[in-house]
Amino acid sequence: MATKLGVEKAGVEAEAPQVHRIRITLTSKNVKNLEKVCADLIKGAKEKQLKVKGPVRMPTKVLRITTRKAPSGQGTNTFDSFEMRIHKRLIDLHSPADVVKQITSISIEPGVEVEVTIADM
Amino acid sequence: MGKKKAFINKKKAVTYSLVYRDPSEDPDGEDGGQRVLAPVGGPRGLHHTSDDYSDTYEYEDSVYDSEYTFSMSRSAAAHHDESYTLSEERRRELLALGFPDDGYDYLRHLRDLGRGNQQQFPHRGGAAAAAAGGGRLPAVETIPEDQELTGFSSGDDGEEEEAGEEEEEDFSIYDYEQDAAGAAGGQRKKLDATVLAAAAAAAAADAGAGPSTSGAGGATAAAVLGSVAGRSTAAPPRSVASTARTHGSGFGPSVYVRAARLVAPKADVKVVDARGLVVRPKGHDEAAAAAALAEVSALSRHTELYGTRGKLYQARDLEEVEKSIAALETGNDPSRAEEVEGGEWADWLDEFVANGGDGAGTSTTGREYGGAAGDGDEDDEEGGTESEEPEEDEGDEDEWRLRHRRQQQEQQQDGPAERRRSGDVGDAEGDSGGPGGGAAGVAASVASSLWRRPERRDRKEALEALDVQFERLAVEYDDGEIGALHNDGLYDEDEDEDDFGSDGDGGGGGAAGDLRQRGGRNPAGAAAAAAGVCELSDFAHVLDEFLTEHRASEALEAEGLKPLQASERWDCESILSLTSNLENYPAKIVDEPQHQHRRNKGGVAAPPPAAGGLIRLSAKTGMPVLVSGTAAVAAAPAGGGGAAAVTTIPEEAAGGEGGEEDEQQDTSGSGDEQGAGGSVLDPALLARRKGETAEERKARKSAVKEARRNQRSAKKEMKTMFRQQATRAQKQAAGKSQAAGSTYVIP
Repeated sequence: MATKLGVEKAGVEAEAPQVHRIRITLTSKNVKNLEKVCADLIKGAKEKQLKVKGPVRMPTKVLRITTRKAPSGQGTNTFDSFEMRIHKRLIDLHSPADVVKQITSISIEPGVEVEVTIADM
Repeated sequence: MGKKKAFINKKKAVTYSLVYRDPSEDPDGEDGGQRVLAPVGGPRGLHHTSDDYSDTYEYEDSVYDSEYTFSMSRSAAAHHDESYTLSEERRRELLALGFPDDGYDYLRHLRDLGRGNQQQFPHRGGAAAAAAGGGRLPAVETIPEDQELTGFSSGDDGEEEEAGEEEEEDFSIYDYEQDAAGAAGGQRKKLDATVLAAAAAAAAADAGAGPSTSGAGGATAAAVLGSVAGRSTAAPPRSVASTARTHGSGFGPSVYVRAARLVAPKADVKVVDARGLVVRPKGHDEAAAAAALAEVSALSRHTELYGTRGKLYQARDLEEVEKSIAALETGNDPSRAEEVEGGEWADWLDEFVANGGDGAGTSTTGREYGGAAGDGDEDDEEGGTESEEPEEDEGDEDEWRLRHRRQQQEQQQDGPAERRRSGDVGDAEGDSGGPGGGAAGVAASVASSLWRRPERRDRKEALEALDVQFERLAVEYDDGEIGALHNDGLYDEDEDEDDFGSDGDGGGGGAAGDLRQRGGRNPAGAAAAAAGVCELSDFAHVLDEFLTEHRASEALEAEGLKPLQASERWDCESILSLTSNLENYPAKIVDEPQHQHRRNKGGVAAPPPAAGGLIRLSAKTGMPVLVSGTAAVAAAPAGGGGAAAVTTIPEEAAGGEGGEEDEQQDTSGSGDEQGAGGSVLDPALLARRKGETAEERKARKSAVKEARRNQRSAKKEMKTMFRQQATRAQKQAAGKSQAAGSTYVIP
């Protein structure tokens, strides 16, 4: 592409926006927030008439740590089991990149990590 | 996930992560709020050109105003990109600065002084600096060329070359432009003006922005700037940071160009006119000390003492000494001689003391003498004060001694044997000698006499000053007034007054008290007089305050009371806050159900159900919990089924709180029998009717007996069943809890 980054937005929008395959990966420890963000994203994408697939729920990863409660070895062997659950969702879109940027920047809950992967076309 | 055709080919995709915005970026153009999509690393994401995305991902243009799309989060693996070169010089630079050698150009994050965070063009820097000709500098500038640098002193508008060299000399540590350095190195011999100017410009700019705050540097920069246009070698000013960034040359001094004019650093010494200082002549102490020793000590041997002017006169007798002292005092001027009788001596001295050492008169004369005599005679003749002036306080001894010294200095005529050493010593001891001290005045430096043998004269010069000090100290410590300060606390003022009166030689114990007392009595005179030695008297009142305070608190403590300090005042809030949740478990106060009071009324084992008809099972035992009110329809009557099976019994048994005892349980077959509430049988049964016949009575009685028997058996049955159920439930509950463990879910 000849255009460099210095081109303003108007110039870019004059061209036909190129539609990319975009995968948005959302991970979080908090299911509620994650689902909320997913719903928002999909809603936003649908409003813009984008082709959306998802959210695909990956299996939850549970990181479990089981430790003995006692700091010393004395006493009955009681154990603490700590866990951390990581939830992951995938959303696939076909859209130009700027739209995705708008969507993702609108509604983000804390604790939800968003990764946008854009396929090379 | 099964994808027949992968939706996204990770190897060819670029991944962006939503991160929080860098606060230094301009937020105006962004509508994304706090977060921004920033490219995430990974070598696979960077193989393709950035141009494909540069137009589509224009949200980056407000972030980076360069051609780069990759800036902030480029990883080390990205340096194979042709637009991202970590040149060798840059690498060296990085290493020199202490950055880790991981292929990342940390210097791009350096900020220019005064200009903020601009994205640099690394590819333009580095090797580009080594262009042909002297000093082609890169286009990156921090300050525009024609902008005048204000704020610097314009005083130094000297030749640029000189100034430049100067700057070079001073700031050669900073970065040099590579080409300038090369050129300068090549032409070092010639010291080409242009080259130097270029280098100077480079250095000057550095200097201007560097830690140097000298005005010359800034002026030089300005001067250089001003004439930049006229020079082929454009040298825009650069800050250290930009220089380091863009040129990538070695960070250390790469060229040494000798300065034409050396500038000495500012001396930070204070100029003092030494004419006002008095220099103690060298031979003085030693000779006098030796003389004093020879004469005064019991162990000393008589030796001849020689000063610089010949043999010193040594007075052997008291009279001689007295005479010489008197002569000194009067300045060898018989007109000033005062005849002091023996009896008046004490008064005279007191007066002397009270007046602060004979006022200014003598001191001025002394000074005059000292001034006049300062040139020439400072050597052998020094006056030792007569040691036989015992009552004199040490405080004014110094002044007196000083005065006499000057007097001694100027009178050399008859060479009286003034032994200042002895005088010093004698003065000191004279105080302690007190009123008794006549003969004692002659004695002196016992302390030093033991070791001061004549054989030690070979090291006189080295030891003389020390000796002086030592003597003084030794004598001072003999004095009862000094040094016993630690006994302060032991004595009251009153006590001191009683014990020690006006005794001059207080000795060990009452020294401090004596001191205070003296201070108290004669503050002006005594304080002034004792100024030289006893600073303690000045602090006497302070000491007193402290002591009274301390004693007050001590008294309180003795009584068992501790004085309450303001900071220690307690209030309920602070007291309550001392309790912690580790020991206390505050819980919400719930309305306790009233079943507590109605525990097992009438001995029935089965608990009554809740008022609402619900039976709650206790989590621990699995058995129904005692709740207020009604008769229980408990687990037992259900045929001994599992306790868990019975959770809720409808409210059939309910019928009000009051008459529940009358409720019938089908515990036994006895028709008339009623009520789990108690053993009350049918009142009809128990009541005796009037006119009852014998048979009726018998029947009734047997009925009653039967009823009771049944009740008893039912009760027993119930009890056993309850116990069984309870144990079973307990076992179950225990088993459950053990198996489950305790699980905490991390939110």
